[in-house]
Amino acid sequence: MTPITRRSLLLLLLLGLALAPLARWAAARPPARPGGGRVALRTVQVRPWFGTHPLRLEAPAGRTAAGEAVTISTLRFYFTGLTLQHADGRASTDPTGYHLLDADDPASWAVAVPLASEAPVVAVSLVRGTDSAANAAGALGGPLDPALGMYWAWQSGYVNVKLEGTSPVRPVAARRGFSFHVGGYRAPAATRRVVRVPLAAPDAAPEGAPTAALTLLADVARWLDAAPLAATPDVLIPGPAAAVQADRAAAIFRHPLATDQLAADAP
Amino acid sequence: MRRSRRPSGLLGAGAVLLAVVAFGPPPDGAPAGAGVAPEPDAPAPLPRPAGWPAPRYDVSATPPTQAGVALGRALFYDPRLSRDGTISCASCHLQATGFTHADHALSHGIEGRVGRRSTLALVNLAWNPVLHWDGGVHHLDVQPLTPLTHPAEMDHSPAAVVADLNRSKPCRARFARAFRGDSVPTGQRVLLALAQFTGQFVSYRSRYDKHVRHEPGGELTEQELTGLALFRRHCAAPHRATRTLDPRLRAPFPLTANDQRDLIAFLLTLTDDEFLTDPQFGYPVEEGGG
Repeated sequence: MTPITRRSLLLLLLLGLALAPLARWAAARPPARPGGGRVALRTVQVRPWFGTHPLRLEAPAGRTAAGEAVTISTLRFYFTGLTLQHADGRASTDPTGYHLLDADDPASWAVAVPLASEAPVVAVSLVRGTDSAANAAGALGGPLDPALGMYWAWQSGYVNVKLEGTSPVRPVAARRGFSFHVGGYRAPAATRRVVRVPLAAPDAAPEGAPTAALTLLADVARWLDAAPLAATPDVLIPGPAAAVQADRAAAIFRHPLATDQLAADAP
Repeated sequence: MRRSRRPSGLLGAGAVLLAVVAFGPPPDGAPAGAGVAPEPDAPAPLPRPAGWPAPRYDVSATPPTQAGVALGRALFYDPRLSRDGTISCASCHLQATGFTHADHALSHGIEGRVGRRSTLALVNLAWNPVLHWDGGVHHLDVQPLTPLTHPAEMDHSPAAVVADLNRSKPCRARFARAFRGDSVPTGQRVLLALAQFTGQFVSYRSRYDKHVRHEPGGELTEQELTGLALFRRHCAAPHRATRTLDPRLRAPFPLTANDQRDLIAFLLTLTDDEFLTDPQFGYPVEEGGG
């Protein structure tokens, strides 16, 4: 064997040794996305809102269109399938399953969505509520744990949205309270809703901060504007009234406007 | 009432063989949970008597284990599941009477509150398409939520129960054994463990069951057979259907004193002394309070 051949063999061996861990690393990596490169995450923050301000629980939230003063004590709802629609026609979807947004727990407001495109976002969609498979399954865990207070006994399944509060227009006998527990998964009174929110303007992530949070508002005022508290009975069971409230509870999602005080902090 | 009408021929023999191969003890063999200190992860499959159809309750996602059944048993007898700590599941579901509340037309919950329903027996639950008198509960897992939250029963909240259990160190150890080292009690785990335990309440050794399987010891007297015919004519349909029940089926049928005697004679063939006294379903004395 000539020295040259020997040297090239040695080189080949060294190259092989150097590449082996690389090959193992490549095999261990999650499958590359169609566009190639690593997967960037975009955080979507769904902020509990009332009119033009962040929703403050247990404090005067504001007035509805009918002029009714309102204090909100509970806003909780299930959502899944949060999807960013990009200008190039692609879509980025949160794959992690159900989320339980609780106005009382800011950590529950944000969802990180793996990006399938870097094009600006033109719309956000989500599914508000649980599907019948989740309702017909037995005891589920995580955000669907029945001990979280969002599960009815009997055949009613999950409470998809819970909105509670007080208003002077409600009866004294009910301690001025109102409760809308919106659930039910059986047609024709199913309360799950697919929601699509077109953005006011395409959302291109700012230069240098490609993963800056995209803010969506869950504006309770929109719900109560459509359901005057003086004339809307409590909803605590599935049925036609729950289905009507489900539509209103789907209309709360919107993109911020210039009039929204985004800098104001929720407590 | 029972779903054991299918003759146990070759099909039944096949089912037994399958059970032996897949799970170890045959349905008529040593009961799950018997013996001392079993392996926590050892399977505790739902009993699957020969000739019975497949259970409706699907355990494929969380197959019952010895430790899961033991945890469910501890919870079943734990009065911490009621708001004032006085009532457990077993207060109204007594093993000696088939897990119902004998001598009580209506059961009483905490503070002596009297409910509006008669306690149902807990038996063969995995085969029930729905639960409760009106079929109001659609899944065995979530059934305990109803008595747990009912003001006239345990009047508690699942969140409070979970918080309570979380404070008990022995209790967390029990959860760790049942859930692969994870000691955190959650609502889901409480419910799964209870279903693992109550799912074991399978009565297939009664004289009536033996009668259906044409086994020795399954002989029924003339009176019991007359009662069985009465049952089939007047009660079988209402006992099979629940939610979609034809209201005509609920109408009482004229019952002579003789009919009554025959019917009761037949109903007694459904009881099963081995089931009613099986120590694996009793108060978990040797395991302490937890």
